[in-house]
Amino acid sequence: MRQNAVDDYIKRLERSMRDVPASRRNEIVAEIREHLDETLAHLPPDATEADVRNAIESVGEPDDIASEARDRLGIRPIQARWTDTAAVILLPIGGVILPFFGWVIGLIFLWMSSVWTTKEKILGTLIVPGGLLPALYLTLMPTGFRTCTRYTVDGATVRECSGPNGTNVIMLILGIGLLVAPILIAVYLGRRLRTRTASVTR
Amino acid sequence: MHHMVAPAPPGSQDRLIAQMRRGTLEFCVLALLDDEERYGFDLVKALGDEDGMVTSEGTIYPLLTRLRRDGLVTSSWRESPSGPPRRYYQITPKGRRALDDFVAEWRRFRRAVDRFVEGGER
Repeated sequence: MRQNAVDDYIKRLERSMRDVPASRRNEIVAEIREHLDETLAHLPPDATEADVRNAIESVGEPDDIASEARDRLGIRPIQARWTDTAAVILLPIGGVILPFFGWVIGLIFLWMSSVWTTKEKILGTLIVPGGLLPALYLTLMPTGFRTCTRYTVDGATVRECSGPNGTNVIMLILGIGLLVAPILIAVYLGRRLRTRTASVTR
Repeated sequence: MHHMVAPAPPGSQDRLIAQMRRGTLEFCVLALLDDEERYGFDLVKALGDEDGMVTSEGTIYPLLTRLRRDGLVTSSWRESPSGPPRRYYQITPKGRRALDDFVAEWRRFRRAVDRFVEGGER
């Protein structure tokens, strides 16, 4: 039960400090975990749950510790700009709204941003060239499922099939892949955006 | 026309005092480490014994991390008689110089303020 309370607190602390660079965050969190363990170790064995909670509270509100960390370490919380959100939307579907150019605008917003790392920007650029446009082009090409019908002519069964053959199926799979990848990448970039621009309470 | 002095916004004095404590805290940490090396919990307890220096214990750790990054303290792991190893903090020569500079400045400041506030009381 005690360990649960500590884990709970540490989880809240990590969430509050999510915009503090990982190396420093891990260091501070590890130290505070140690501090908590030691604080609880000093409690008498018959300490009530209320005692445990009071002891944990004396360590401080996670938000306060996080804002102290930002202050002391000179970390300015990153402000999300509207262009950041626009990039996440335009990269996958911009090219569909405004053929090709919508995607290019999304790309410019992506590279203008101070939220994402260069690696993430490259990922956003390479994985979704054109966004969903090529995917739609491939999947909307007349494909449909291959259907077969059987009928009997003069006692012999005849099987007749129509629809896409093997190569078309590969195109379909490729199309679905191209459809899913931009969405996944956009979701990933969106989540990074949300994490880095954590709401700051002061 | 009257020039009115805008009343201080409520809580601004509390904020000022909090800022003063906050600004001097790092030198209190350095002064504590000047005597002997200490680990985090021990340091926090020593500061907490002095009324009003530390409001929430956890806020010391970001400061310790910064002092370490700035090279004013170093740390090393030591076995503890009970439980896992502890990170002990030591003051560095750079930290000692920063402390000395602060102490000289602090004494001058304190003397000047005392002269005014105590002079006014008489």
